[in-house]
Amino acid sequence: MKKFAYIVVAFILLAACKVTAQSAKDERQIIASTQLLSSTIFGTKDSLTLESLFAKKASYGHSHGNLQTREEAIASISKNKSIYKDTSVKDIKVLFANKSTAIVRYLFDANENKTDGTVTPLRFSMMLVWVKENGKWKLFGRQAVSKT
Amino acid sequence: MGNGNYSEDKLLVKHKMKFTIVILLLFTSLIAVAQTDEIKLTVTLKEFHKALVDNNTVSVNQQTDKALSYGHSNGWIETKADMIKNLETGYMNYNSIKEDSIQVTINGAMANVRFVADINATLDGNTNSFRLKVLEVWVKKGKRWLLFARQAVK
Repeated sequence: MKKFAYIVVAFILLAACKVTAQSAKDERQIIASTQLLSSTIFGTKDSLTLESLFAKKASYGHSHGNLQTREEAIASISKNKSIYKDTSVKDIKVLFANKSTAIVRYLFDANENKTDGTVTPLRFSMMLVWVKENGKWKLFGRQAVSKT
Repeated sequence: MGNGNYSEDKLLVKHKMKFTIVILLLFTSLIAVAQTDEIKLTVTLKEFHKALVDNNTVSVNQQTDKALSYGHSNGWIETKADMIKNLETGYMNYNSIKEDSIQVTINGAMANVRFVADINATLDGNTNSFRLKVLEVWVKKGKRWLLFARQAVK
């Protein structure tokens, strides 16, 4: 009887470990995708990478309030002529609502160098919505807000 | 071409039509289900905003996920505990919330809701009006939609 109890406890512990391992793996994947997304938007501007990261029904909200669909966002990012210097992504925090829904919050700083020669410092608080589709985390929503 | 073939063809057409009607009906009911889900969520969203205005922290507690992350347009972020505490102490008071242009995008057991809101709120004794663009992330747990995340921008 005692032996049986030990076996049950062992199985429960094993199952708990597995769940923790999975969410740790999900968290790692989401953080990696967040960093890739940021370095693509403010760096390489590669549209194929963006297409692989954006979910079909994604919506993309800018800090000044305007809102874009997946297609509009990918087109305007890849055509953006500004160069972003001193980019920094910090204080990344991942929160899960369930196994396939998470948000990421982080702070983004950069200096935007526009083609007209002006430099604008950016300081954003970002919220990203990630959903798991066929085993891959995809960007379902984004809302930037200027930190004042 | 005999008579037999003719009636067989007719039968085939009849079957095909029946099949098409069944498929159409299925689609209509699917769309109807999706629509009721969107309507339900819109109602829930408005009820939640009313609970904020009414300072009904019992409802706010029931309508939000434990992982709630509630972001304001100045970058300030409240957790669920923060939000309830700030309503209870009167540090944050919502005087009115009026939504328009509500857009619901459902994806399985979660949804993004985008809308524009006219908000009048009192923070630490200072009353201000805002017109905000808001993204709210809702998740369905059991039969209920719960607010999981929110970010507003001016």
